[in-house]
Amino acid sequence: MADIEVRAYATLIKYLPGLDLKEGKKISVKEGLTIQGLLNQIGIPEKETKIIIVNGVHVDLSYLLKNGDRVAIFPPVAGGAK
Amino acid sequence: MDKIYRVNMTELKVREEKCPSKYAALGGRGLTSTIVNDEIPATCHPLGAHNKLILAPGLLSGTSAACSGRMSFGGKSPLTGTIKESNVGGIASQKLAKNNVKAIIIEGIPKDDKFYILEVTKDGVKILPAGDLAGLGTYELNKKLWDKYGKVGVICIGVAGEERMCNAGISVNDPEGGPGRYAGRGGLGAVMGSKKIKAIIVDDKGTDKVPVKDEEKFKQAAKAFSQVLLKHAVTGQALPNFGTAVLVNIVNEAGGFPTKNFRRGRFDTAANISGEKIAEVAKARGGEGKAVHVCHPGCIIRCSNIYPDKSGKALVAPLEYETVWSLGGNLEVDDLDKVAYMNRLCNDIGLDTIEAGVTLAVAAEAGLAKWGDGDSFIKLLEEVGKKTPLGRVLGQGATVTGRVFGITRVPACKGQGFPAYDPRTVKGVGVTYATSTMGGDHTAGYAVLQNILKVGGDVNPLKTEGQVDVSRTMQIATATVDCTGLCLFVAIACLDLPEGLQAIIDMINAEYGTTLKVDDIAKIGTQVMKTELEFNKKAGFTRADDRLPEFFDEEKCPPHNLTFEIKPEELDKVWANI
Repeated sequence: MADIEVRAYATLIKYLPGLDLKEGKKISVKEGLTIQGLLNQIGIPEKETKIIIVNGVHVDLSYLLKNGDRVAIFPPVAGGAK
Repeated sequence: MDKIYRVNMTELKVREEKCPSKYAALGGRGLTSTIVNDEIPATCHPLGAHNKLILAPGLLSGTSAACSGRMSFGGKSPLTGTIKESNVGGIASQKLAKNNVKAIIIEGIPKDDKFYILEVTKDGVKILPAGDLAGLGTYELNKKLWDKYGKVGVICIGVAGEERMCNAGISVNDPEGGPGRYAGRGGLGAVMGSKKIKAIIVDDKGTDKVPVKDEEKFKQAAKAFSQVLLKHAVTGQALPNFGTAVLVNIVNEAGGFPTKNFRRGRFDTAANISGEKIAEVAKARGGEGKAVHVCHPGCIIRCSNIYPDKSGKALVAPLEYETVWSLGGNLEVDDLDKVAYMNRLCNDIGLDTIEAGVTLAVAAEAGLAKWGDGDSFIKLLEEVGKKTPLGRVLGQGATVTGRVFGITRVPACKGQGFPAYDPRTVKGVGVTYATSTMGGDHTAGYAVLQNILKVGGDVNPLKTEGQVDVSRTMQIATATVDCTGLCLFVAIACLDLPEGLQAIIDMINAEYGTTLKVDDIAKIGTQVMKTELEFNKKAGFTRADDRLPEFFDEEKCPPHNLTFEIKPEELDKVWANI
């Protein structure tokens, strides 16, 4: 299992009720789960996301999660025409 | 627009000139920078009689083009000694355009010690005594002028500009009559103060519509342009819903949010000063608070806000990303109300908030204030308003403050303090800080779009590859946008949706009867950059000035633990072949 910290911002905050942005939401996932899998697991619709940053680095939906990762999920506040 | 007014403050006389043909195709920054390079001796004292203050609306200002209410102020900067163009919204640009003003060139210095105001109407420009308006803070000044003249455009300076402090900005009023829009950076407020002008009133009463050669073509192009802005996720949703401070959380997560005077790239409680928080507070407190707001009529991006105090009264409008960083994260202050209050103080005293925040951080290094303690920083800002010797030092900006107190940790280039992105982890904008013609500047070449937001391209912010090219491309594109009177944020949409660029060209052609093509966008911007580089060269600047302070090359910035890494030879490639 991998223990990770998840934060969702702007219009996505509503999918993580009670989220403390300072601490992040601490969850356990299967080691090697992708970002796409994570979104599915925590109930954030993939089509509403745009930028994923893990440990300060931009990644895509195929990124494989590992223990200690800090995951930040953004809607199109950043980038992209619809 | 074809009238150029020369306001001679030595003779206290105004001359009206017809715009010479060599300037006909120019507007905004293209016009101010060309006049600066043509008329101002590059080695002059910026606060002396040979410097000039030039005002110019943009090419599309006053039309029905969305987001076209920006104007430019130009001159030699007292803060940096380089050429300066300071771009600002608010309601004055459209009124200048409707008064058929192509430019106002303010020259000379009055022989006496009194302050004056200028009145701009359809009949011309008048110089009048400022009387008891001198010495007022910008909030009270704006209220007095609206009481007297009605809802006119108000361009003014605070006490900082009157006292020729080099961090003095020029305020332009918003649709509610507040002084919160700022031609902030580069100290042009001190130039206005050196010419003893307290305020410029722009009244468009009795004016007609701005003439457009082909009304039908213009309407079609303007419609296409608006659709592009509404369609793009950043201009159509993120900016209206959360304002520019929507950047706080993403820049912070990316490890580029400069904290405690650029010691680290992540601030633990950044979310407390984010755009999401501002929207939440504005909605919860209600009253005069607004999460969505325009700085000028016809803006459809609506990135502005009105931040209310606890009783719902307007405290400051707008509260923006750069300011919640400079007066917040950079000082380790995470109390949004204190940050908003400091913003209001800066507006009232007449200071650029970015430079003010970098200055306050340098002051904290010198032990004059406590990190994280908003009240200790408020006390320092109040010193500036009271014109005490300490206040006068702080009012000169971060570089001078650092020199006075023997502090070497001063994040600045060419004397202008860095904005809200660490150059070590947002390397593209770091190249802009070093090579912009105006010193440590972010809007001049906002590579943050490609580095962090993945708009208009994708350039990894942590690696050296691609940063020189993206900074150059953005500096040239921005120089063009700054000529048009369009808000720079339209570039966010147009970089991803090229039909937006075509619409801008179509609007200009429809208004002026020109035959520009999209390819001309880079040509126009390139010419502006050449003009500015030429002035700076005459002023004595060399490539040795296109460098970051040495600690950015040597000190690793957590959490990524990187240095700037971009070598001087690489930086010199930005303009080597222009």
